[in-house]
Amino acid sequence: MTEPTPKLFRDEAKAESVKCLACGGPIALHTFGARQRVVCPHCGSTLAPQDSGALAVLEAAARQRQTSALPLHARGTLEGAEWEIVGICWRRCVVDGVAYPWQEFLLFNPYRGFRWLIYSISDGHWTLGGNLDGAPQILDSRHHAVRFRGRRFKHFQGAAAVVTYVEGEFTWEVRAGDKADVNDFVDPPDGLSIEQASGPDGAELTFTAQHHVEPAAVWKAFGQPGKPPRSHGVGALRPNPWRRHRRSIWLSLLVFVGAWALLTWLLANGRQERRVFADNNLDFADAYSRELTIGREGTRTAIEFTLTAEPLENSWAYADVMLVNLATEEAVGFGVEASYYHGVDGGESWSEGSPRATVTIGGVEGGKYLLQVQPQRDTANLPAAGELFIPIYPAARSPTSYGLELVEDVFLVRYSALALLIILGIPMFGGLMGWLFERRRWQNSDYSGTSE
Amino acid sequence: MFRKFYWLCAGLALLLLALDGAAGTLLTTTPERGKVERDPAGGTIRSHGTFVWFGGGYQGGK
Amino acid sequence: MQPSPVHCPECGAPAPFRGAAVSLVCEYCGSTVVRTGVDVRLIGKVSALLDNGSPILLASKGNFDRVPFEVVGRLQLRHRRGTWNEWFIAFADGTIGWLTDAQGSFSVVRPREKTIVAGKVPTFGGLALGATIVVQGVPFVAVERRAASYQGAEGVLPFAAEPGLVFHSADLRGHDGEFATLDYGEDGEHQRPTLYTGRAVELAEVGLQPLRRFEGWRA
Repeated sequence: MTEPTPKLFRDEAKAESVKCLACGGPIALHTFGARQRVVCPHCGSTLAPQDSGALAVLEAAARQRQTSALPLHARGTLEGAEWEIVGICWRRCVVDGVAYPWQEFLLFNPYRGFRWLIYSISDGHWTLGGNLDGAPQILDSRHHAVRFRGRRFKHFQGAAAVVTYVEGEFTWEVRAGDKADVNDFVDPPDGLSIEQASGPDGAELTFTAQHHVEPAAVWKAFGQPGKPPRSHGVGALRPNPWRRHRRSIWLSLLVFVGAWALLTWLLANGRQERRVFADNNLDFADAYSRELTIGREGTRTAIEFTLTAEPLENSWAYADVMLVNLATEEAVGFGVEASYYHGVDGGESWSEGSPRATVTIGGVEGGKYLLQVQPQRDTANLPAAGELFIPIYPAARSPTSYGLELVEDVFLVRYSALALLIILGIPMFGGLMGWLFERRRWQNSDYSGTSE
Repeated sequence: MFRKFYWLCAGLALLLLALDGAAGTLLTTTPERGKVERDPAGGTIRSHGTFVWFGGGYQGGK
Repeated sequence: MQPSPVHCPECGAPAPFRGAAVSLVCEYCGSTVVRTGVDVRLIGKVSALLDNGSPILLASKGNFDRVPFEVVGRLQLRHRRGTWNEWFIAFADGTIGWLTDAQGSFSVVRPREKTIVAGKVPTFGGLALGATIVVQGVPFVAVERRAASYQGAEGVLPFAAEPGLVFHSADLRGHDGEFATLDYGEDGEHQRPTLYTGRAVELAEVGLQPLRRFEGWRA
């Protein structure tokens, strides 16, 4: 390249192709002069541009066949702009004896500069990075968090990164073996990375702003066929889908609880619970029949029908009930069983049931009804006429009389309870899932709690 | 998605509470219902076959 | 800004010095001309501008914080890691600024009063990377320090742009995206650098037109 006069910049800048001085193969140059290093794709030699514009060989190298998730010079549209992959850098860090490799694709757009597309080979996650336009504020002397633009980024992991292989064009003097200390901080979906390398001028600090990208979005952006490489676990920057609308969900919960409280209060106080009838000391030998009025015409009500049998010990009683609406001649039929059993089992006493049994029936239309009850009972342990009752072990007594009761317009807790369960339960479920998601995310960090 | 699901479920539950809480039509046990025939003697004859079974099938005990 | 009627001593073409311009690279013959008072001195063809892929063109126009500006000059500097450009921009309100253009990262900074940092910052040599420097109550982190040499120029610049110049400068970054540059000039052993403040920009944001064309790319 000869010294251009200013007029030359008016012409369209051309992409170039030069011959590698080491192997003679053609090298395509797509960065229009912004490069500092070029690695020959054929022989792997590292070349550096000289003032004259020619590329001098810095290091001859044997080219390694390295697989890459995306090919060099592929173009894709991300975040509203078109980018070309002009360089690929393979790096890895070693944590607890395990190597975690990743690729960094240098993206180029002559009007927007450079970006990084980072692909973690071990778990398939993608991140888009660019220069941070500022410097983060270290909050903790132990580097557990940083602040930038008012946002807090928590320390996720720190490791020594080593360059293992490079291909293409780069804007700095990269070479295999370059080491840097990298610390990643996260505030999903954004992240911040602080990289420290020792260079000839002393410590070099680089701040990178990062953002989560879905594998499918990368694949689509670069027009790659098939599916992207599978990802495992939760990416460090992947937004938590369970926390997406966290605030509005918990706010709406408050609204729902308020509505629930109001409706429950109205329901509790708007009723007129009334005992329709009660009758005791009834004989099991006779069927019971009675006319009664339930509720009001035109509305439905919920009733409780209670059977009480006495005495009842290790015995049972049963009532076969029918309520016939005298106007429509429609009947409601049901059974009520009262049973009570108890005993001592291996030193522990137990009991089951109760001498008083209640059945709740809903949707009963208001009007005049005929009640018909057919009682039944366990006759095994009836006292004989004139006998004194002598308790034996286990005690058992069959009922000698029974009582009935019908209450209308009862308060059904179940409606209120169900509504509250849903109102509180669903957000709590979401909160639990969100917490589990975060736990899975932090499994990959320096703070997983396991010696992974 | 999750948020809409929550709002839908909570809304329906509150609606159920508001509209059916007093009558209790939906959340209670479904007893046998049906028409009956009148016994000329004044008692009531259960017309549906299941009613008969329902009435006489309980022999007691657990 | 009225261009003064000066001509290039080498080729006779018009040399439109404007405003604070001290040197000018002749558009026609490439010679550098320096204006001192009413005198005009020819330095010669000393500009060795490299094509480092910049999308910015001389004489293009844009606006920063709603104030229009024109790109009137370019200073290309070289340091250990390559070259970058500092574009000299003249605002419509008579003020000037610099549009830094380094590997696709752009920022606009404006000069501030020297007294703000005089005596309150380290010398160039004493500046430690990563250290915090407070400027007018705002904490900045020193992220880079350079001693760069003159590579080339085009258009007009507010100083005599000639080979041998060494520019000592340091980049400061704030926690809310604030950019600052400390310009120590030729000598780094003093504590009275010129302060420039501003922020990072995208080319699209400043609406710079026209832009350089690149094969295979749309602006």
